[in-house]
Amino acid sequence: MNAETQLKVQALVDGELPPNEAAQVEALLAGDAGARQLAASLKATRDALRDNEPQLAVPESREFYWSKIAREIERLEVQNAQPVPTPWLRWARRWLLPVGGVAVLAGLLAMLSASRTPALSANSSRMMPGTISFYLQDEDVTIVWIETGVNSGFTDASPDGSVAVE
Amino acid sequence: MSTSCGSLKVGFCLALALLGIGFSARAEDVKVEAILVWGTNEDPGKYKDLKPVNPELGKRLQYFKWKNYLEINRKTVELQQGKENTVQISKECKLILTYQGNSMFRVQLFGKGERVSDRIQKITLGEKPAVFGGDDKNDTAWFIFITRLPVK
Repeated sequence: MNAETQLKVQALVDGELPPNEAAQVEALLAGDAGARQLAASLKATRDALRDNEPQLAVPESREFYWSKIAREIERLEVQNAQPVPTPWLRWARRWLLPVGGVAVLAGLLAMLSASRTPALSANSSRMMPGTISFYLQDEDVTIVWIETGVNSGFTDASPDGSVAVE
Repeated sequence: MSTSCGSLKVGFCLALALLGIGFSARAEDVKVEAILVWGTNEDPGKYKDLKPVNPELGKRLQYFKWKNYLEINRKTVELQQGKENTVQISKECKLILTYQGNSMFRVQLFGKGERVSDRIQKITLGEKPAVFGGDDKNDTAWFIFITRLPVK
């Protein structure tokens, strides 16, 4: 029995053959034991499935069930719809965002310039000869001692007891 | 839509706030006091015009060898950030002070026209002064205290 014959037997069992073809297949079954066995097996399987298939019922009626689905679809479509922005909002998005960005940048630059560190690091001296700094721990103070020589002129004490000041 | 409007408002307000901060970070004015002190072992009574330094300054000089510390001159000056200001602390000596911001000062000392020190010093309001010193004639010494004062 070839595949085409098997399909015809299956179609006969399913009731899908036109009358003239059905008569031909039934005549074939009368003369072919293998085809009769196939037809019997297919019928038994069909009957078993039909008679033992569990019947499941939804809580709502079919119409109400599908109407719920339709309403949910409509609700989701409305929720996802993008509104058309108002003209002033479009203008704001176009101009305020870049202006705001520039303002942020300007503010950051101003803050950076105010906190710019000097060319020399803290408590540092240029390479002046004869400068010593020492730290008095008890007083928590650093003294910068400059070897200016005895004629620095800082105090200019004169013999008459006065000290020359400005 | 409400979410995008809200974030736009926040961004705009933040930008305005930062602009305000930027504009407010202008040059700062400060006030400092420079005190010239003379350290000597001579009798201070010989120098009637001079008075002993206040105990607070004297405490920082106790580690030096001199017995007497006399205040010679005291100058107060207001500094604008970034601008040099000359303080003639004695007849032949001067300071050039420049406030650089963030309590940082450039201190240049000149003695008899010659620059003897050029230093960046941190001088914070309400904290210890910057102290400079050096030898002077007749085995004496000079000291300069630079203190930050509040700007009224």
